[in-house]
Amino acid sequence: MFIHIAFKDLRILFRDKKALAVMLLMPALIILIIGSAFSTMFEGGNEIEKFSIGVVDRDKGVMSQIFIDRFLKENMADVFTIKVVDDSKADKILNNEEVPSVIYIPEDFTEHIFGNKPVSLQVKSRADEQFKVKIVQSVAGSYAQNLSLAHTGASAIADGLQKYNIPVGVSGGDIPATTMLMFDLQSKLSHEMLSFKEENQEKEKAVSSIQYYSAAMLVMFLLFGANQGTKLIVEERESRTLGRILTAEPGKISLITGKFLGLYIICLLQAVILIVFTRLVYGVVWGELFPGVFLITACSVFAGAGFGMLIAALAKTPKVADGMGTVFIQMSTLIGGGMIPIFYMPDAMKTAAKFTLNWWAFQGYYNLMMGLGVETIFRYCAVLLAMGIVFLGIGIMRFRVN
Amino acid sequence: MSFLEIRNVSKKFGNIQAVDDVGFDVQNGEVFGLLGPNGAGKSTLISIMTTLLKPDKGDVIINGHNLNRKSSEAKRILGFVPQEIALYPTLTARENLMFWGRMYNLKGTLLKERVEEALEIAGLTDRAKGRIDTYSGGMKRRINIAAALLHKPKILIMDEPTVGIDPQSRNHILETVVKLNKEGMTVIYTSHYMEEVEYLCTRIAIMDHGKIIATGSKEELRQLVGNRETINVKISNAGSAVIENIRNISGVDSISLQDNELSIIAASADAILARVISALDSLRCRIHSMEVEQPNLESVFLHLTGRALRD
Repeated sequence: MFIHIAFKDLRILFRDKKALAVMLLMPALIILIIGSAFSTMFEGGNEIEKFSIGVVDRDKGVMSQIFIDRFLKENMADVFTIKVVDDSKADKILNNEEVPSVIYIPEDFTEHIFGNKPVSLQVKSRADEQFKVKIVQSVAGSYAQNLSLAHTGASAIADGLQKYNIPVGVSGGDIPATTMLMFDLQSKLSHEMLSFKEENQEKEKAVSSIQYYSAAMLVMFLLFGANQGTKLIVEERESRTLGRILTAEPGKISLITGKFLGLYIICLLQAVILIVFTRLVYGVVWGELFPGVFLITACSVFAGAGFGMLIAALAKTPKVADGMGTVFIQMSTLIGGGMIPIFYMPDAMKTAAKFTLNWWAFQGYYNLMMGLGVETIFRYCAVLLAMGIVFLGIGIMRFRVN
Repeated sequence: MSFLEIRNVSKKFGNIQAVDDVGFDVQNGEVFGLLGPNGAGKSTLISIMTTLLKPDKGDVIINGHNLNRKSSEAKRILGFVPQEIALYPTLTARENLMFWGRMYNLKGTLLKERVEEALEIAGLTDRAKGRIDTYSGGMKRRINIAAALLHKPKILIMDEPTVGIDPQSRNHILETVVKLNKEGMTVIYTSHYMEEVEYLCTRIAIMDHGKIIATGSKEELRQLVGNRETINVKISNAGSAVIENIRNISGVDSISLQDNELSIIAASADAILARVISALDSLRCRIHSMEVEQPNLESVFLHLTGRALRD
């Protein structure tokens, strides 16, 4: 019986031209206007701002110093700044979200390089900030890889030269001649490798303003769509049709299920229409992976429909529902980075953004737009589902028909 | 066994005792009237009878099913016409009826047949494709009633079904109730329109301040007033002293004043008429009309509460 309740709500909504305009036409226009207006903010690949990373130098040798000063501080100066810390401080800055990652240089780093043994660098990261973490991992990984390549190359060259009794080169103070040769090779290789990596990163972070605002506005208008459904519920309470349903055969569970399903379908249809529209008309790439886009959309819609049920339970009149919903949606969109790009916000706002539904939904879309894998959005989906369950739970507890 | 039994039902909202230890029986095939002014507790009692509210105490038993325990069985034989137009304004009459039919678990051909029957009862078959928001108040009321008849209930509870409609639609509704009752349907009819209750109901309960203050047939209720007569006087310039002055006239039982209309109950209208006119004249009240009525439900309520039904 709840199916009939849900489909009746859909039929009513599709007859409301004003509501349809708010749900479909307005977001399409706003995406175009804001996307065009703020396009300069997204030019030049500066979507990811310079960030800090931690480095723990357990080696404190010559080679770790070269890695920090010449490689991290000089070569990577455009990408991040370095905080050299000890082990205990490293955990602290990681937990306090001051840095997305910490690179640990092992104690035997210099010794291994001088001894022509393979080296490795450990990277410890936070679960969020996937993109920044990926940059750090790629930088550390490529440096270690370059050292290994250089080590193999230098050894081969040294062996060859020694066969013909040609001196390998000049030793540099404490550093043996072979190591100097390896370092020279590594430096050249590193340049090549880093160029390659940066290109990769450029490709990954090329999220355009129209993409950014398509995702941000989709989430905002999805909530507005839920709010339209909410108004319907409150209007029904006022006109006593909700009560009348309960005097017929359905019980409260059927009624609430029908109402939630109605809200869910309304929001899902709206999201699908907007995604298809922005793809076809504005050429917005929502992600290479359809399952990923569908998953984050389904979870965002669940949270949005839960939000709608919560407002329906709290608001006494349709006007109050409209007012409450509008204020909440606009605030959470602003805080969640839906209006001003999140990477231009101060740190305090970035933290506050995580308390909004918009941020979690948006981050999921953003990851997919950057070409990251579906596994990177599971965390966002889980939080959105949890939010939906909490909203819905409170909504059910407070749901009244009279 | 009675078809509907109300046993010591009470309901409180905060400090307000909306229904206070109410009890009465309704027999199968009866049209039972629930009469009382606005705020008397009728709608709360109706909400309890239709499972929308749970009573704080007491029981409602419909055809042997106690609503506190077996509400789903009772709901299958119960039709409810709410005071509000509980329909979807942007859907057509037929779409509304189809939806409400589904809410009573009707499907397929049976649903379509019942919808057509309900439209016929409402006299709106030719307007079935019209949206409810394009209907007149009376037409909306008729569909509001039709929606409660789709599952052919054994008992129909109607809460103020004729509020704010034209005389033609009112007559249609009253005749529909009479017809349904003749076909065997038990009807509970609540209204603050005394004439409707007098016309339709075989037995009546009068409710005030959450309590049933009298129950019986029309004749039994009129007996409560005895042979007293009611003098209705339309006046203007009515000051606050009017009620006090008239009440002090010997032979006046009770008096109320609403919308410049005085209602005076007395054992003999002839005996006090001259003194009433004199008192009004001395208070500089202008008399527009005056009539003497035999006892009716209005005078019963006035006699029992000292207030007019419309208060």
